Amino acid sequence: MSAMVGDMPSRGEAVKRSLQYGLYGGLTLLLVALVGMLPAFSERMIISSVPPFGQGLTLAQVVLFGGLAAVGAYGANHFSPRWLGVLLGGLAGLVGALVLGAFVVLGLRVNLQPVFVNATPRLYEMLTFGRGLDGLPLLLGVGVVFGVLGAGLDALPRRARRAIIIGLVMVVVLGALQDLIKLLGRSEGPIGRTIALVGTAFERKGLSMAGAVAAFFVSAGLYLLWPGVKARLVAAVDARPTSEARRIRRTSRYLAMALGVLVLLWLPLDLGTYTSEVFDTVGLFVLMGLGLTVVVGYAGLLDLGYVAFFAIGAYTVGVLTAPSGGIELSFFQALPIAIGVSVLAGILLGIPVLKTHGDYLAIITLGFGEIIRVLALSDVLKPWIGGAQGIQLIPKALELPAITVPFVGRVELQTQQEIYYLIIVASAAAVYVTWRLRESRYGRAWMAMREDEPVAEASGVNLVNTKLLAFATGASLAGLSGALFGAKLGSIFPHSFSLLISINVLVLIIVGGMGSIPGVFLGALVLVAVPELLREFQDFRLLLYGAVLIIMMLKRPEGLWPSTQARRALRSAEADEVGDGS
Amino acid sequence: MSEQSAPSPSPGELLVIDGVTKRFGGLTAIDELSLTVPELQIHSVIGPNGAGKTTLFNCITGFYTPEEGQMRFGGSESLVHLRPDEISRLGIARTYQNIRVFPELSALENVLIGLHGRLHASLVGVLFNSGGTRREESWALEEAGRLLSFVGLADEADQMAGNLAYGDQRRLEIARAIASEPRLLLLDEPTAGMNLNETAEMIEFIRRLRDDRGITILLIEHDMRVVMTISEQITVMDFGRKIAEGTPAEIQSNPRVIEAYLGRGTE
Repeated sequence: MSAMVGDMPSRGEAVKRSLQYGLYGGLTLLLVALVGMLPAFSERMIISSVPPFGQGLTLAQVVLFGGLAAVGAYGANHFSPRWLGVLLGGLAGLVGALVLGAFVVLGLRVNLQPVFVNATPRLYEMLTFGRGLDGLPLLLGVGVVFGVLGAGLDALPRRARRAIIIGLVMVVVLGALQDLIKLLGRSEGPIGRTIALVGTAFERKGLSMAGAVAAFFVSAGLYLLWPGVKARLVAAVDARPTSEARRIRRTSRYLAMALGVLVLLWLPLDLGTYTSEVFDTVGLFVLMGLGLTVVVGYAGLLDLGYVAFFAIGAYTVGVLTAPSGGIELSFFQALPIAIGVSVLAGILLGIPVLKTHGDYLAIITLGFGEIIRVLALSDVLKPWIGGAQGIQLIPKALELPAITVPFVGRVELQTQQEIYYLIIVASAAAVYVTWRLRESRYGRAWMAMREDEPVAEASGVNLVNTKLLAFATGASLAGLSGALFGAKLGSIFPHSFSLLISINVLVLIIVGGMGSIPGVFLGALVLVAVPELLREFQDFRLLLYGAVLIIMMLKRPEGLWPSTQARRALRSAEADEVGDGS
Repeated sequence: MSEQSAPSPSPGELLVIDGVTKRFGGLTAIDELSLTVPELQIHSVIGPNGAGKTTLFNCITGFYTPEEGQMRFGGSESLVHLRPDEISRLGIARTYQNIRVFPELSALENVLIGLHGRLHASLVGVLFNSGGTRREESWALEEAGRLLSFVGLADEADQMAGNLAYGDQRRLEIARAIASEPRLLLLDEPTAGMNLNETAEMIEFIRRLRDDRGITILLIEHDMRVVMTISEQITVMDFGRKIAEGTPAEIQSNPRVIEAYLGRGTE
């Protein structure tokens, strides 16, 4: 939050603004409560026993208090003197709590449930800390306290503020993921044992007080100390002669990569089928994300029907391998054909849309995606692809023998684990292809076309070939992903190929950072794995998507892991701002 | 006015435009224009706003297809009905009136795109990072570096093009254009928005393009000092037609040109 010293509002204006933010924040929290998020989250205990709340701290309370603290922080936005800002934060928190309180008072008199399904007695109980109307002063008090805390946090220096926020977020994440951590900690492998170590911070339900405090200080401390450690390491390496320094740097990079690969290969052995399943889904989205990165990120062709190629890959493998198709190829015989058919579809879609741009292209591709889904459902193709019944009995892609693995023992892999390895290999290949193309004249032609189509053409770029290559590359990766998807599930249905998949892929490349390859992995992990692992999120997935997107676009439009280009643009924008003053 | 025509160009003639007409609906932007640019000439096209100068450039580079007339380049290649990228490969490059560098790419990447037509790495070569591809890439990087040095932007290679100073963007645009090793370079108001110093540098630079690199120059320019200093031949356009042609001295004393620039009396 940047300090806008330039336009300091008058005191009257400041009070008005904090009241305003308090009102907005209160209404937002009310919305969050009414969509049923709070009741759903109240099952998850973050810290098992916290004296003032009787039982313990739940995720729902974290959302509530965090919301009030944020309201306070916004209400206090940059006022001097500081103490005035902090007081205004308290005022904003009070207003936010008043909105919730008024809702409780109303709800306890009038039955709101016919209108708001989630306005249950349980919700009122939560908002009043189980005390009914007597809990209202407590709610207001909490509003003031957290408003002041939020505003106070905002007034701290940047590093201290970040350290505290990171510590708090770590505690909440650990608490929210406790079931997963406990589950994984039961496995016998080295990763499992490491995780079991983290598991000691938990009590039967939620973190122990000591565990929470430890988690907070460890993560905040790491944040504060890491830059210093890193600087010292870099200085130590730089002090060596150049050739040796370069060698050390290269070796450590390779070591880190080797370690990463080893962990990736080890994961499914260690963590069992459920986690493998989650990572499979992440991998399939990574493949699609890489393909869409080429189409949208590099070539600038907004494709909203991307799921079509995913469907074509899956259905091709289905028809060619399942008994119902009567051909019964093996997966590896069918795979190149599936990719080929997807590429062909990409080119066929590409040809008619060569002359369209931007929003028009988006709408045409949107239509294309729907056409493919409707075709899959249709009676016309039913004899071949099964209509609404889809295709069943798609054979497994791999049939690995049981093996003996050091530290783990004899392992018989499940389908989810076998396909995991295939997905890893496919992702590695996809990353390689994407990276090679980006660094070549083809990649440069894509980017030139994205920036200024006529000028690219006048510079010698053949637009037809360049666009078709982008569509074909994107389609091949989506087709590959679809083929693996079909083999993983063993059966496919038209409803698996909805518009939502296209949107998910687009969202993950935006969140990860448009045009950035590591960003695809990060985006897929955040948007696929996190809701999968936090089961309560499932119902609110789209709501959270929306929220995440809005926050990202406002606070970090370049994505979680920006591409080099985006970073360059950002750097020079900052330089411009600084330069203006001089 | 345009009786003289050259059905097939004689050896020294690089660009021959013969009776070209371009209409937009009812508006005739270019009206039976004929123009010949000999090899290694610096040739200017001048005329009031809306005379059809930029439309002429757009016809030559393939953005527009003229309704009538012929355009021939370097011997016998006809330019009509070729796509812009094909025309670029033939050896015609251009810059734009309102600078059009690729703003979010670095200066180096801008020039690399200018080299696109001279690179031939195949998809297979790129995917398997073959020796040929690697050699071509490193050659392209060096060549782009040389071009940036030639226009005096060696230190700005990694800068985002959109962030370069105005004059630097103009020079980057020229570096990108000459990266394709054109025989003919079309410059659309290269000194627009420049101060006296920068303008003088640009004039010098355009001369070097011709003298050192053997590039024939066709340019649109409003600044009469620039036109009269640099041009060997001037074509004057008004309402899509050629109204005069000649050396700077001839043009300066031509009554029709003076009339076009100072306005006509009421009729």
